[in-house]
Amino acid sequence: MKKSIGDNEIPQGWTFERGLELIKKAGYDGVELWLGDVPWFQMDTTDAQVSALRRKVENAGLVVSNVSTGLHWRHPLSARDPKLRQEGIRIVERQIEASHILGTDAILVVAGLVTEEVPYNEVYRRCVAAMQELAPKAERAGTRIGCENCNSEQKFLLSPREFLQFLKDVNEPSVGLHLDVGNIHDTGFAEQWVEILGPQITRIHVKDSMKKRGHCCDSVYTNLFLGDNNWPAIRAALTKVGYDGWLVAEMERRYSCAPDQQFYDTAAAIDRVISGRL
Amino acid sequence: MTCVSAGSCACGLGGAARPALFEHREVAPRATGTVVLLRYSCALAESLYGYQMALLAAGKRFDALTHDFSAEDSAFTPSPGRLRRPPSPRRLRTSTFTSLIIAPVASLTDFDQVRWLRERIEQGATALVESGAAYLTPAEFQVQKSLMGSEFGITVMNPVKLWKRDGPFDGVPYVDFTWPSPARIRDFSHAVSLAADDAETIATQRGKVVGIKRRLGNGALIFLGSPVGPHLLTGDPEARRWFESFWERAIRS
Repeated sequence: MKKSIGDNEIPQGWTFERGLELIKKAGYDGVELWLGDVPWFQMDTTDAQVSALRRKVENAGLVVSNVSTGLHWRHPLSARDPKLRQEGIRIVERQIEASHILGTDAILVVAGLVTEEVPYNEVYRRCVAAMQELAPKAERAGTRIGCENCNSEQKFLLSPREFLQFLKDVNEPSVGLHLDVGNIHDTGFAEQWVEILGPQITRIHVKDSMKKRGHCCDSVYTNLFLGDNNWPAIRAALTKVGYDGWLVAEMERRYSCAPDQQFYDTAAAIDRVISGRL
Repeated sequence: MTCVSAGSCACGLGGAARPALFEHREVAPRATGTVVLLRYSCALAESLYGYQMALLAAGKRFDALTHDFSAEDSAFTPSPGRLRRPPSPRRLRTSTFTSLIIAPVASLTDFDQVRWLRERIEQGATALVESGAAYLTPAEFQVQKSLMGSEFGITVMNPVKLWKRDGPFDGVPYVDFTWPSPARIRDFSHAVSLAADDAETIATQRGKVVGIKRRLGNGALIFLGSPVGPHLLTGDPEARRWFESFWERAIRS
């Protein structure tokens, strides 16, 4: 397995190049690029500029592990408004195009948002339809779309069996699961998601979560090993299903000072997960 | 017209009692006739597909009147024909009697289309029309508003967004139907209030009239300010029951 971390973790005010230098120095193999979440990679970033980003990544001795985005929280593929939904589709298309240019084979998509206003049944149908529309484009680009499990925030696809059924309904090999082992909270157990969805996992986000928090003002998320995830069980499940891909760090910026230290600490924790010394 | 389904037509009277809605009707009920789904005026494909799915699931025979008589739109995308030039009224005229017309989330911004609809209703058809106001530009909406007033005597208010992001949650803004059977169906984010003389209120949303039924000539117009079609697509049981009940009433008249 290989280690990666998002470029949206780079401390604010830092340049992309400086951030890459830190990522390399902390021991990561790759970087996850977040479309729309960082100044250097936006929807209007041209193909040439994306190529330039790839050169910078490679010059730093890294590769791009995958292309993610947080833009679908504002432009959901499940929106009732067809125009908003179309913008969501365009974002995924740009991720696919960018992934091809960046030389990676996976993108992360937050597939749908269940809200008080937009109920589950509508979200489910629209997401299946959107994935079926986008899958051929991803396949042509040699990319897989990983729908992320954002259980508590999305209120959608809350269990691994449900997610498996969703993937069966989409029925496209280029659509899978971008598993976030920190997003499951108290709705289940990450290791069971790994066991049930193993072959469909495109990438894995790693962070920890605290089951007794998150119901009020405190964030539920924390650094690896500080929360309630059963890391030995997760590691065993990864071995069981033969997952040998990327582990991508995605934490909240928790360090009140020395923000670069979070990169080193997280890299060391991921090393322990990979080596199984837990 | 392009027939997209050839299921069995469940439109026989079978000796059933005449529905209350049409009790005052002078002409004899017509057991035969075509059912038309207006694709060309649809501003929200989901609603069209909802009715299509409901009709197909129930084995109903219907004709889908397309804008250019082309193949199906891809699912869940806005109807690309919405802003194209509409078909000529001559082309829309059919020799067979039209008994039911469904216009899902309709733009109704073209005089010829609206006049065609009115003529069919006056000849005895029942038309179920959903307002597409929430999906029109302000200019298009003004045209629709004007045509609905001049051709059908219906006042269409501006679409109102039902879900506010600020302030306390004040409940799901369900639409309460009273005809043809009581049903409580989810909103679809926006609703249009309606008013018309000699019209019967058939649906309200938080006290506002969002569904009316009005006789025109030998037929009837059912105009909805909040669409049902998208809920048919998601399999909402209340919406399906309502539509089944509507079908029975409309097709037997």
